Amino acid sequence: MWQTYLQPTTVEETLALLAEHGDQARIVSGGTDVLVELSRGVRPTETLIDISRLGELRYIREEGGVVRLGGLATHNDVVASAIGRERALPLAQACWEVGAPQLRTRGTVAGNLVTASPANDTITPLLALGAEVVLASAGGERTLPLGEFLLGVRRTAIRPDELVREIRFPALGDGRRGIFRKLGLRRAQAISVVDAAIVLGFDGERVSGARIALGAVAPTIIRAEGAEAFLIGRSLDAETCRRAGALAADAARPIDDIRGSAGYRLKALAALIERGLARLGDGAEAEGLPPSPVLLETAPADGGAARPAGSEPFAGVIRTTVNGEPQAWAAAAGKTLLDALREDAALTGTKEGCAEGECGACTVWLDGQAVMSCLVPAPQAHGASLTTIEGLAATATEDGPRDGGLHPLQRTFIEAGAVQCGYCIPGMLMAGAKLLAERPAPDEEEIRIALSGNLCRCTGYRKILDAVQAAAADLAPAGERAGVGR
Amino acid sequence: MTRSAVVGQPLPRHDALGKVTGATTYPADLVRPGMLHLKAVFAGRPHARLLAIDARAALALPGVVAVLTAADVPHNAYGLIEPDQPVLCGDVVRFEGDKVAVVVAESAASAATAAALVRVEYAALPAVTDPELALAADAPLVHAERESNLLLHVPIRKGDVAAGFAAADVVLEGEFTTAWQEHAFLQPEAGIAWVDDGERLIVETAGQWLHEDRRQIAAVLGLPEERVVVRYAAIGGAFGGREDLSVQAPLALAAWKLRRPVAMVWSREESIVGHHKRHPIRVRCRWGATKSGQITAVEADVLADGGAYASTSAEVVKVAALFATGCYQVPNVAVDGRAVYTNNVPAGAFRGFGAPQAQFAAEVMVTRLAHALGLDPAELRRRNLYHEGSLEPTGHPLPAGVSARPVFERCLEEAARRGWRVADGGWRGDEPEAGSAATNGTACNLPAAARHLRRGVGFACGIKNLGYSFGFPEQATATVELAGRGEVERTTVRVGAADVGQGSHLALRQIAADALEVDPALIEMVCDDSELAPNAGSASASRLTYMAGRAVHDAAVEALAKYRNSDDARVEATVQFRPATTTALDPETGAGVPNYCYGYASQAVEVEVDEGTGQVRVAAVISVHDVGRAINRQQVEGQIEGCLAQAVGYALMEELRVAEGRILTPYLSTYLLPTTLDMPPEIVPVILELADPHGPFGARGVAEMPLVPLLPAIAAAIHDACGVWLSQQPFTPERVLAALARRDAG
Repeated sequence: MWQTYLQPTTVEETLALLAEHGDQARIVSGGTDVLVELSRGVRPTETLIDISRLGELRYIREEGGVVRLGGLATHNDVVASAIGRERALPLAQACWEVGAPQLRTRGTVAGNLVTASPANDTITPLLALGAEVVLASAGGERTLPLGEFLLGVRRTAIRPDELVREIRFPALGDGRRGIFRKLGLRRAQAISVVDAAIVLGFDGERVSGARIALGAVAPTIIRAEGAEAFLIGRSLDAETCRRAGALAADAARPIDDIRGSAGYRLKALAALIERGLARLGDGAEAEGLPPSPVLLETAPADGGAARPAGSEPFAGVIRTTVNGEPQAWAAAAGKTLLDALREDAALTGTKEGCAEGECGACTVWLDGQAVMSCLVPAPQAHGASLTTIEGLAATATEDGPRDGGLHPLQRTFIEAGAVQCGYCIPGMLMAGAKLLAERPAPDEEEIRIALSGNLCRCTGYRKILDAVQAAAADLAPAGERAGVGR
Repeated sequence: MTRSAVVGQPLPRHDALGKVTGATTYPADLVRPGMLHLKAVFAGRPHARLLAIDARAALALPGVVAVLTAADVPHNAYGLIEPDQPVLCGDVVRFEGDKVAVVVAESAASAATAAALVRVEYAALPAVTDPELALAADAPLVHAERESNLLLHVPIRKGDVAAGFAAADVVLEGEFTTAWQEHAFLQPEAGIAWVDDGERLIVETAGQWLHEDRRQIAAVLGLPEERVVVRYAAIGGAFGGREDLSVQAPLALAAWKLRRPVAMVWSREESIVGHHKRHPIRVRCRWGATKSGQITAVEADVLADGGAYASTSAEVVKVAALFATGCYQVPNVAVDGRAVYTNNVPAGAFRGFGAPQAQFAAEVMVTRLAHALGLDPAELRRRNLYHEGSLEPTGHPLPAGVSARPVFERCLEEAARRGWRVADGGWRGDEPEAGSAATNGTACNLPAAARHLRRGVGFACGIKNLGYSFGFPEQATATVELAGRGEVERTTVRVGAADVGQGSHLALRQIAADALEVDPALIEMVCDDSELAPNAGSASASRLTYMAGRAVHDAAVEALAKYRNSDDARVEATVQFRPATTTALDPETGAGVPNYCYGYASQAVEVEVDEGTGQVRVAAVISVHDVGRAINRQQVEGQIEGCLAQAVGYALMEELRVAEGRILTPYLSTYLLPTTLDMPPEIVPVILELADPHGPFGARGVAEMPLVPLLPAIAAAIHDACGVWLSQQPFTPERVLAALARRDAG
């Protein structure tokens, strides 16, 4: 899919490479959009510039009432951070609605902006929050309001030599509150049919300022200015919410596509806005975002960026650790991690079911994160530590595998009858075992969320959920186990 | 047959260990260095004449070994029932997934690059993509050598429908449509093939019937069947989608012609474009009933879009026509089933095989009739459900073991236990509990939205044949070998039955263990090689436990008797089990013996409908099945739960979008399957064991039955919640909202 893979380690080096390669190269980090596009021949490129090693860009900070997101801040980073949840709730909600855990741990908010699909969930709240985009190039920096950054369907104002260094917006709080709502055709791994973000300023009960952004109803994310103006000075009674919903729909110019007709989008949009406003009126805007969201990552926040001391920069040969064994892949620089594992490491337990990050059959652990290996450029394994299904058992305890060489979850999958055709099972286990590493006693909703990126066509999931619960009970310390029904 | 220690036990699967450790090899895991890689060149258009294929640029690419075309195929037609599908098209392409060439190269990447370089010149032909229009006199012909696009017309006539409607107090009409469903087994098609030292062609892949794959491959190459060996690696799901050949024929062709090991691995997109789907079926029907609750007449017109090739359309439309009256005894019946060729993706086998589409119409009509008559829909069913000795529309009594009524009564009991009850002529669920909305989907989990939420309860019944129908040859053969001096030391069961994930090998092992009184773990099962295992028929029609199970059971009994009555250190018994005979349907009246066994199901569901967005959430499903005898209860539950996931997807979200013969949703990101979060929080499988008179230990099949009632049960629940009937599957939020808008407008 690409010929040359460059992996700079500083922003300065990156900007120099961008200046050199310009429109002959594309930037990649989480890969969740870029690898899908490349596999479909969208915006093809000879050269990938991997910025995932620029640890300095992975941050979420609040300074002087401004929230700053580094270019490498992931969806999970936003969802997990207090700043994201308390000072940028609509963005955190949108991040939580993206794809599935394996995508949220990889995908970056900046990457969504650059993809600039009208259905990219995070752009909508950023527009409502009044975000600006800081673009860096070798020639210096410039800052654009988000509305000027977005030009059309998958078109932005970014120049080929530029990098999104930071996204920033005024923090919520002090009378400003917001909410994000999305309608998809299923509850995970769903592209928005419509989505909306509302940010309101309040003077007591009355609305003193309003920004409403609408997604998937026009070539770019748009504002619902009529509804915004209507709300000023009003309190959020039922009729006001309803009329604002109708006014917001007036601003939309949706199209018919495979996910829905224009007419349906308008109706659903009105309902989303009406309910979002009602929720804000009730002060219930944060409901639904779990206090401790499932992340499927157990590495520290900078774990993906901090390399083991002494590891050499990537220079063509991928030197990595797979299931505790060092490996060197000489011919995998142009491959996905999935293909490298299957072809160069001859580890075929990791499966391909879709090659677009939808089914989760290729889930492995990359430096502590559960990732879909079909959307990871293999060179990102350089200097990293990988665990595949073949190495899962050895992670079960510090002393190595127990249960006759199985991870407890592998054993409960067998006992619970959770395995039918088995093709989804390696990915399912890697996601499930990561959940148990992250939280030893998950409830059923958390298990469902953790496995929402892993499709199974045989079992209906019931026995898989049972198996995770049984393993959690087994893994619980003996003192806590008494209270767990088995 | 006596109860014993092994049958009924929830023993773990022997294949599970390899599957949880990643050691199990599926077809794509068999690719080895040195193999040649195949890449198909797809037509990518619904209907065109092939003018020329220029492969020079492709062949000039380094690593490209050959580009195979129709001229390379010895007998260029295959098919399960009627060989009308070319391996590689030579003159005309009839759907976008038709293959015109296969590139063979040293690497998968070279093959893919070269495939894009094959220049194919076409002259577009008018495409017919609407089954109604395909029947017009001036419609373009999908197969020019046929007189029309009609693939099969199956009439069923019983009694006098005019008199039946005249006797009815209420006559209702309905029209129902369903769309294609994609199998979406998690493992896309793949396989390898080579020619061994004995000049035999070995094809190792995943399918549903070793010996039928072998027959078709041998026919394409013009080889005697003994020269072809088909082996199955682990099969990553099937659901009917691996019944038709896919990669097998190109693999066989390339390996045989080039005498080198070859591999072919399809992408998800190739899989979705390349293999058949569940039939879209349109049912127009009239049902009549008297005030006393007797259904007097049913008239139905059943039209199935068979797509470009015959596949199993003829059988599917017969099943759909047979079940146009559901599981009800109706004295006067006039059904016309038709399957037609179009330039759409071929339609063929998919779990349920015509039964879900037909009974969507039948079950909704029965509930509507009850409402029109002011009767409890449960009571109307009670008065008309099949019972022992009921006559089918084909005029023959049902095979013994009719359990429609006990299954339905149990379903009502389970529903009542949950507090669902009859009130105001309809069924009512529990009142929503305070705060219950908090577990709902994104758009409906706010308290302010609670007023948009409507709860409803619905139920439906279902019937599905087990095994082959309408006189299709039905048999299963198994061999049991016992060896040992004095006591049995080695037990081998040979039975060519595919384990597509449903656990058939475990069920057969348990049956053998019980019949032989040996530890099931000590039995060697030989099931995946067409040479080493005899033909047990396909993993389809919910038939393996019953058919292969009987063959294994009977062979085991015979082998054990031989062993006990002789001094031989090694005995062997082979049994071919044949069930009661079925017959072809009379071409004028449909009279005949359609099936030898049926499975019966009933389901009750609770849904929550968001009247603002049209989203439907299934909160709970009760699914009751008579399985005769659960050989392994855990595996039976797995079949019910898994089938329900496909049924929930079918009912609510799985929508293959097709325009002008082109599939618009060829990815798992656009063809949506239910995730963990989309499944009902509560699924209650209820397993009844009302022994089948012929099945092994009384067992009968269950694999398809949960798919039959769910669509109409959800339709009834949506009606209960909101007062609207949905008649177009799937019930997408958009369709629900449109129905609500029509309700509010008028």
